[in-house]
Amino acid sequence: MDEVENGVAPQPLFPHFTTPAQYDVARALIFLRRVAGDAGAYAFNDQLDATVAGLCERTSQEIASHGKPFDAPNEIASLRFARVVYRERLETNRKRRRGSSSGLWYVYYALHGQTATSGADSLEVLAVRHSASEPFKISQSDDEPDDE
Amino acid sequence: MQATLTLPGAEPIVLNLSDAVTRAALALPTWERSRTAAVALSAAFAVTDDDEEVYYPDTDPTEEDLIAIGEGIAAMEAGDTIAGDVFFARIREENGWTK
Repeated sequence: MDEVENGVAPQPLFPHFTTPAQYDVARALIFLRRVAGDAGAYAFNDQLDATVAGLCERTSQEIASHGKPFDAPNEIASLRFARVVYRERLETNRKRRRGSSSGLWYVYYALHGQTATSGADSLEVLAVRHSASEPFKISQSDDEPDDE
Repeated sequence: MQATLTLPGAEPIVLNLSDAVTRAALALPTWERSRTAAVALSAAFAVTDDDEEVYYPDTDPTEEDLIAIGEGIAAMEAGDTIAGDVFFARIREENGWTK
């Protein structure tokens, strides 16, 4: 569908992956190959590809029809960096399995570039993170022995 | 008092209930008695449905997520990116996958 309600043809958005996001995907594939085998890694990769391609198509149509994407920016990330950052869910496992971890990943992305109409010509994947990602916690005990 | 539970394809199970429990059960309407029994038995047998579809609730970005996003923004602004089709083609080639 190239035409939208107000008659403005969608400006195509092209997906790009930043280098840190590429490393995120590489780490995710290593993790998934260990826990779900080659088929799990393959499925994740295909799903990520389809998710990002779908995002580009949907977002370009939304910009053409309404001037901006329908999705609300992720407030926490957008406020931290003073720029609009979006987040898309990527669910790899919709069925509960014994011993399996959550299948929810997040694709963080931003719109970038300049075109005459929409102001954006690329959808930049900034990071691909598992929903359970936690910082390392270093616990220190008060009664830790001194060096002396 | 005794009650029986009949599961499909199995012999009836005799449940020994105290008088107090029986009175409490009989005081409930039939549908409520049935629902309460189902809840109690599910809890007792710790039933989980492996094929149950689940919805994973959203979580806020962690500090590590934010650091990763910040690195992504810096890379984007420096032009340190590759096109999605090139990226996925490379992954598939490295892993011997076909689309």
